Amino acid sequence: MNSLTYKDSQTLTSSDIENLALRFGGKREDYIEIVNKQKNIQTINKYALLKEINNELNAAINPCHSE
Amino acid sequence: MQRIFVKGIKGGLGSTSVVANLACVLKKSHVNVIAIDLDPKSDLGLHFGLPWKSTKGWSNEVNFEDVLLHFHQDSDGVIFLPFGDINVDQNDIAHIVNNCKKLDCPQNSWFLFDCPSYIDLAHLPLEPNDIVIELINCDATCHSLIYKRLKKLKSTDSSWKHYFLVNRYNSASVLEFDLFSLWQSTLPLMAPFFINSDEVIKESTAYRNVALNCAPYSIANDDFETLAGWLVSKAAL
Amino acid sequence: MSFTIFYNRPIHSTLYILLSILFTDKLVRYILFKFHSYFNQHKVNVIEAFLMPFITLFSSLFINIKKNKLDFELVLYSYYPHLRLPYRTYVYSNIIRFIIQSLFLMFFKNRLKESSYSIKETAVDYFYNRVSYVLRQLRWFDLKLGKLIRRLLSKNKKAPKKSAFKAMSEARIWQNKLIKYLTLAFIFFLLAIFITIPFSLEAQAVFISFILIVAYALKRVKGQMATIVMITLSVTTSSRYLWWRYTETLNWGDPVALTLGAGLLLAETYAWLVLILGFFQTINPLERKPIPLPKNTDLWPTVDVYIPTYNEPLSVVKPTTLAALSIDWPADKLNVYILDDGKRPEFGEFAKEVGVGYLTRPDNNHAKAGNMNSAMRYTDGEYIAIFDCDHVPARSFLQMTMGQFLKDSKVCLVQTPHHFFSADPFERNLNNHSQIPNENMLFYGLIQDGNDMWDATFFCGSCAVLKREALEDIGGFAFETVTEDAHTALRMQRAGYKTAYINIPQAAGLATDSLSAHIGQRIRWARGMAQIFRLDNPLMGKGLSVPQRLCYINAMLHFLSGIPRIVFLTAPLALIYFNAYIIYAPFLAIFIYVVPTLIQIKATNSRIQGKYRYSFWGEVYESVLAWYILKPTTVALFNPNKGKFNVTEKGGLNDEEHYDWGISKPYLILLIINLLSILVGVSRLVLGDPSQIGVLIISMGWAIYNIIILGAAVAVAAEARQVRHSHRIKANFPAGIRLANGHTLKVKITDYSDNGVGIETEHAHLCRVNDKIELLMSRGNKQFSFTTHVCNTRKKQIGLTIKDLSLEKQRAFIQCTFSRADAWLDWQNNFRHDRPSYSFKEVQKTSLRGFSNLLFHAPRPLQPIIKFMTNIVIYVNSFTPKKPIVHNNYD
Repeated sequence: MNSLTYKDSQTLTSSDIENLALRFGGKREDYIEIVNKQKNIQTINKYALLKEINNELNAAINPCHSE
Repeated sequence: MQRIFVKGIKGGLGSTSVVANLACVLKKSHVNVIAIDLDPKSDLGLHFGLPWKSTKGWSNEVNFEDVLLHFHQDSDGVIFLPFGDINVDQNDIAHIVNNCKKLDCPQNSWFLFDCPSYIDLAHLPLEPNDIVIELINCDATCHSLIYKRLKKLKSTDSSWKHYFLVNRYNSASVLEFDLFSLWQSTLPLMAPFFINSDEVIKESTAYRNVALNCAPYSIANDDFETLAGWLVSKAAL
Repeated sequence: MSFTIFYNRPIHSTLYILLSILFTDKLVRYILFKFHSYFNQHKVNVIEAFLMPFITLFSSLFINIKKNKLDFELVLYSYYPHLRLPYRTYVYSNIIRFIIQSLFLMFFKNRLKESSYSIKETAVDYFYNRVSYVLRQLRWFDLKLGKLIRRLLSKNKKAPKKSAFKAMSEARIWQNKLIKYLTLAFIFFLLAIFITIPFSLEAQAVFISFILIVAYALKRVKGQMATIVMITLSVTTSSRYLWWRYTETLNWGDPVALTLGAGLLLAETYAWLVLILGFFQTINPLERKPIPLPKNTDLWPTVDVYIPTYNEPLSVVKPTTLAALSIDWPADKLNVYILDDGKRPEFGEFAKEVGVGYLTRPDNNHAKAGNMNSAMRYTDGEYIAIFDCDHVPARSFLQMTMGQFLKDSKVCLVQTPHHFFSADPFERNLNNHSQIPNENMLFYGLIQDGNDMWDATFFCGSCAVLKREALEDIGGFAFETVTEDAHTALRMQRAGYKTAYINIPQAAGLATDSLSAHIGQRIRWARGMAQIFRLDNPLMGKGLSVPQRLCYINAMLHFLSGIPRIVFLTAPLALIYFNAYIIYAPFLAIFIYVVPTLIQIKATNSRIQGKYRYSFWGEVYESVLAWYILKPTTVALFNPNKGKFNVTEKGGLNDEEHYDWGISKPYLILLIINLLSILVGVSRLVLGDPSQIGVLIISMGWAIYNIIILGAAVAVAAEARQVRHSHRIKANFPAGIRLANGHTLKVKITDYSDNGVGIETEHAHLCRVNDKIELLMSRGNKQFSFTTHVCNTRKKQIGLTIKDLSLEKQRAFIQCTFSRADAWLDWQNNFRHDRPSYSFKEVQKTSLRGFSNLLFHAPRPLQPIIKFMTNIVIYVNSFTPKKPIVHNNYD
């Protein structure tokens, strides 16, 4: 159990921010990954289905992070 | 005891192989793992090296005492229970899930349930500590299904921990990349990582094994380790 | 032995018969056999060949030759590896080598490992044990001393956990001005007594050796307190030394010596001033940590990123722009602008394509400062981040820096270090990239952090964020000098703003690519500093605190180092050539004052700067620049308005290896007169007045030191070839590849450049050249995939090229590589703490390289002489004792 508790993948999820925080104090959580809202809007507009769903749910879904 | 329910948001998303590999990773970190096949396809056994001719499972038995006879153990030490070849209804599934609690096993055991995609979560006896992983692929159908699922989750009071996990992700595809970026930044309940599409997952079944044993150097291996680590951090154990 | 042989070889047979009279048949045959082998095979002359078997036979009465024979050869070979082969041809020189080596072996334990022990060996062991016992005793004493000091110091520390230093400085008592000044006056009074009280020679010797012992013991003690004690000791000894120099060592009787002596004394005063100011500057580096930003990004301010460019190619500006665009900052609050003074249409197109601003202006007045001032008219961000067009920012740049502004509204500048991923000319020509801290490192690693403590961080023109409000307050970037950056910061500080430095490399760029360009850049800085000194003297004027003024003065003094450095490089010549007593004191006094003081200062500096600048390298760097910054600083001091801004050229390459004679000329001259002085010195030692021997030896020692430094300086001038067009950057982060057949592999990225990646796998990969591979790299939670082609494979290494990426992919590639938040973090951690002896050895090595470079590149007519001289040196060197060769038992 212990061997897994803090084990993070070595390949793709080991993050540069983690390294930064490790070396210079501060916490990883202090760093804020920026959401590129414009890119998201672009993506939604690019695909017709996504656009439709988005329009339908416009009021219902409130974009937020959970994890 | 931690219970994990893995299901695809639709059929054919590879939930069985995710369960098999996850079970294997967890077992390798020396916890007790019990995988239970709730899918009438009854193919979980294939991943664990169950002989092809053996078709019986829990659905063939009426009493739970008799079900005990159908538990097998694979070469890595994962204990698993095949489905069998009898048709059952949702109540039977709920029944067997409940019965598994009666098993006498160590406190830190993990139960992995391979659920069929059509199963209604509301019919399962889910508890607040249970984790439901709903597999998705980066395609438009899943996009629509996710939003339907979110709607449903919101309307019913779902007390369990529900997560979406992207399986078979291929970042070279523009659509997949776009969808994944969008989901990751807008969807709640998204797992913060994904399982990469990898030939070895397919191949390993053909070799009667799991990806973990076939290709320890593959990214898939790492992905499952990440998944396991993340689950441990979410678990209530 | 049949009689047919008798007829064929009469002499042989006669000999055989004669010998048979004296020896048994077996021995006779042995003698003849040996004789033949010596005579025919080893080409020994007749008499020796005939005598040799007898010698062997005779000695065999005492030694078991058969048993020792093999051993003997082995021993000879391993203990005397430098004896010339064949031994016989070089009998006489080999004898000398043998004797020297034997002496060496006797006194230093160099025994090879052996399994058996005889009585003789135990005796030898006993001898060595006695020697090492004495050494151990000394070490024990040394250890005790260290412990004692440590205990003394830790006692002080025990009281409050908070640093004693801080507690003292924050005590309420200092609120009372009178007490504060009285205490200060008292301290200075004490110090003055310590410095000025004249000691007899013996007393000085005791005093200085006591200080040295304390300093030596402190070597083992870690922590700020010990450093401060070291600094205090150094200040005392160096001040005492200078006082002694001023009061007792000027030769008023001899006008030549007086003038030269005064010159040296002034140079020493300069060095002392720089030393004291340097101590002050770096006594307590702040080491500021980043301050996290509020979680709500709506509260974050707007930032403009300026990328000024003039004549750099688009390929240099491109990565910077793409990286600037992907800094982690809300897109609507981040505006990137290319400020193109070159007014090139392709830049405009590129800017439009990627969606950044493109600003030009009608004129090119005031160079970079003017460019940015003009841009400020068109943009309106609350903060301005500036990157030279070749500095690729990390994505975390703004989040690491902006917190300072939000915490304290008076902060107007946050500077981060300049890091260079390519080797600077020093590193390249000396081939010590990332082995020895480079010239920059002292400044960005230590001095800026020290400056920050005193709120005197310098603005370095790039990799920094400024507050627009503060800039507008002082009328935009200062353009009166050629170093607009330092001047701008100075003005803002005068206006009451605070500056900050964060020692986290968050951007990296190309270093200057040739020594002449490097020197050109330093000349510009030197000139700029001199201009600021004249136009806006930080000592004068209002708004600055005393420590700020001192920090600025130190920075400026640093650039005036030209004249003093040249004085130091020539000072010992005065005595050797002109018999001018520039330090008018008896030999013993000089020895007692100079040497320990130097040791003490070197030790202190090594302690403070150890991680950022190795001992003696400062002298090398300074020596290279000395001659060249001498003129521009002097000119600028007298006529500050002269001189224009020249752009530092970067990103080019040297097509072929060449020797920059032009640049090394002044050092060649210095080197030659120093070398000649050694010859003169030696001849004077032999022929001259015996009373001068001591002083002569000191002068010659100094001259030899100068020669070593100059040799290293000359070594820099040999321009090495730059092979790669795009610089490969060493890296170590995980990634993945997906092969054409759908299989994936975990890999490690070992290096990258803007068109290629080097990866390493732990496993067999079966990749072939020209295979198409998907490279999977991640940034945060996002995975990007790049189509690459295998260009070479070696065991576990694969080289991948990346071609024709779309702009979007290029951007992603930059995000995953150059602008990783941790891309440049390793630069300071790679270096061990300085060890002066090691460092000096390195300088010596470099110096030797310099000499060999000189010889190698020397003009043709000189070659025979050089060859002759080198042969002599090689020959002499062959006599020096060598370490025995160690065999392991399995050979």
